Amino acid sequence: MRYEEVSLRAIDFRDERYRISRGAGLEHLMRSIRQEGLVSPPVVCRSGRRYVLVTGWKRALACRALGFRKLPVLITEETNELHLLRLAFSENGATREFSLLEKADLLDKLNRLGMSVNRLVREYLPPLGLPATAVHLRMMLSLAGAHRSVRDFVSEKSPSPAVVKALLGFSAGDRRLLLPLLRPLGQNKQRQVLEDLRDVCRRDGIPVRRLFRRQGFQSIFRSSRLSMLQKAEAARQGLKRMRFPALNAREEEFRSALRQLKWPGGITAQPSPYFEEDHVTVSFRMGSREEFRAALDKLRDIAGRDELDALFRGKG
Amino acid sequence: MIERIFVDRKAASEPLTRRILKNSPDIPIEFVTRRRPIDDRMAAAEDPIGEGKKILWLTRQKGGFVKPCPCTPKYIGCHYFIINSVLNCPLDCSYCILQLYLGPSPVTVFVNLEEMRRGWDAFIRRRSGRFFRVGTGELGDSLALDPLTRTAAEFISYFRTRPNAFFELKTKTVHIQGVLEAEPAENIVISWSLNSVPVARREEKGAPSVFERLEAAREVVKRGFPVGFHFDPLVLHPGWEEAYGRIIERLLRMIPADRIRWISLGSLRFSPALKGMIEERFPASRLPLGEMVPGRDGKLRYFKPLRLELYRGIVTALRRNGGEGIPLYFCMEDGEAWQKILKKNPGRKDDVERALSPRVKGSGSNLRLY
Ligand code: SF4
Repeated sequence: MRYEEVSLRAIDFRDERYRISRGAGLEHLMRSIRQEGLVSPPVVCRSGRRYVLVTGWKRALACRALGFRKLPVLITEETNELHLLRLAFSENGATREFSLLEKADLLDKLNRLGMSVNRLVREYLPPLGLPATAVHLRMMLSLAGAHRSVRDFVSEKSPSPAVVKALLGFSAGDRRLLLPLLRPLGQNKQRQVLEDLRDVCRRDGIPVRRLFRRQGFQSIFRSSRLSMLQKAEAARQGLKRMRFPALNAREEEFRSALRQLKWPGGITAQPSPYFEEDHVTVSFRMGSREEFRAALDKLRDIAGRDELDALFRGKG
Repeated sequence: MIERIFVDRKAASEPLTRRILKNSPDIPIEFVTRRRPIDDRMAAAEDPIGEGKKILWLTRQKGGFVKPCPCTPKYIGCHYFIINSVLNCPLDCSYCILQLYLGPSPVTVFVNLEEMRRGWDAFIRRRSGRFFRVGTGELGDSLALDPLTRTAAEFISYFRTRPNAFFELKTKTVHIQGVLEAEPAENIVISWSLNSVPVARREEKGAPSVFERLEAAREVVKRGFPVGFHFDPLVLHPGWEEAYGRIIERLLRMIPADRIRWISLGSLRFSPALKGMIEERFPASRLPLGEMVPGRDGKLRYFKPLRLELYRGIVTALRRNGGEGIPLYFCMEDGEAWQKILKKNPGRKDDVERALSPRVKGSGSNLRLY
């Protein structure tokens, strides 16, 4: 490779063949270049009379933003696109973690340059921290080719691969319906919404669109009282009830039994997780003998009532 | 089914290796010194687990010839021991735990039978005077490879003279030729996993129909062997009660109840990781769509009232069709299920063991063990 200073105008910034970095925010880098200069020059290759950036995209963009006219570069004579992309991959990978979207774009580029599925799975997925399976490769390629709205969501919210995988399992049209619902939720809830929705639609044989046209969902989506977060939360709860109808019915039965018993505040009654075990845990706090006695009196009163049995019902 | 055989050079001279190769004249064979080519082949496949099921790997086992069955902690197991003569299975059931437990793995046959037999001798000496159940069908299907290995008859003749062992060959196949050629004994149980017709058809790729399995069981009973059945995994699906009822009715019409040594019941269960695997490898499977919630061991099971309803339906069908005297046990269930459905709570593994052996130990049994 040959060191040279080339005019920034000679660099074709529209050619993103080897671009891996997507992150915004050049300020930090610009400050460092202003203070220390450009310590490590980007690598470029020739393309006709101009140059294409192979590595150092952010550095070049920062220099341009700082108003540099010339850019110190290393010019490689390599012309094989696959080799150049691998160079970009190893240089970037040595210094930082790739985002999911960057990984997807890299795999997509390698794939387009003719690298076989086998090689991608075996040689690229493990160093990218992804399971070495064809299914994961397919998911990443699908992410690379996804609609801009999906890519923006992934870039902004950094969802887990599991969320991305579940989202990509829906049709492009369904994804557009889902994105506003997912945005306000945390990762676990995003995943839960997607999985419950997928399972309900498959189980009942109805498309997402039709499910969302149902009265319950429409009144959530159309509500002017609810914030986006509240709508997302209400839709999540609704989906969970549809996905687990028997569990939901039992939970409702339990709550109704507590209401009928006029269960005293300050004393909690908790079934075992998912009603898997045959018991209810009752707990309360006390700060004195009197408080203790008062709680016991209330419980003794409840113990004499027939409605108590409903707390233990539903166990078959 | 098996498409290629790899032979570990160190195992090439074992008599069992030679027998398997003789019995598979049309399958390409490679002799190798390491497993690497097999792993490469699996890694290169779109479905590495499915690829492993097409490869037969003949090698030697280094130790651990008999192991306790890895029952789920926190649920009541059944004190079972497993012989790992085979690892993995050429069938491809969507719910199979081996996908997760073994990962991409060839179907492996351990061919150093002589050494394995010495290991079994030592194990049996340690348990002398104590009844135990032992089988080969936990990390694979006991008979799926028998047309190639012809080991079933050898196992039977070994265990028929060990009266404190109940030896079980557990299968979904109809490869019973080797069994029929062996001398029957009362402590040798050939057992079949059964399911409803729609579940077997949709979820048990490569397995014969449930009716064919029952036909095979009838043959084996005719030959003089006791049999066992495993309704596992029981699956809730539209019409499940009639579907299982039909199988149970047919089963008890074809097989005399007093020749059925046990029937086990286990509802569908899987870890979240296995659920993901089923969704990936079997996208048409409906198993992950059930109303399943995490249990105490972290595995997903049907919500308990649904599970109990399922068990109750099966037990009722068994009783209705004349199976009330058949010992039943649950696979990986808690005391509540035992108590509510079977009206007994074994509490500990040893109790399950005793419950399954009343006709063997100290109960005025007329059972002869050989
Ligand atoms: S027959 Fe048994 S071991 Fe074989 S794939 Fe099915 S469940 Fe797994």
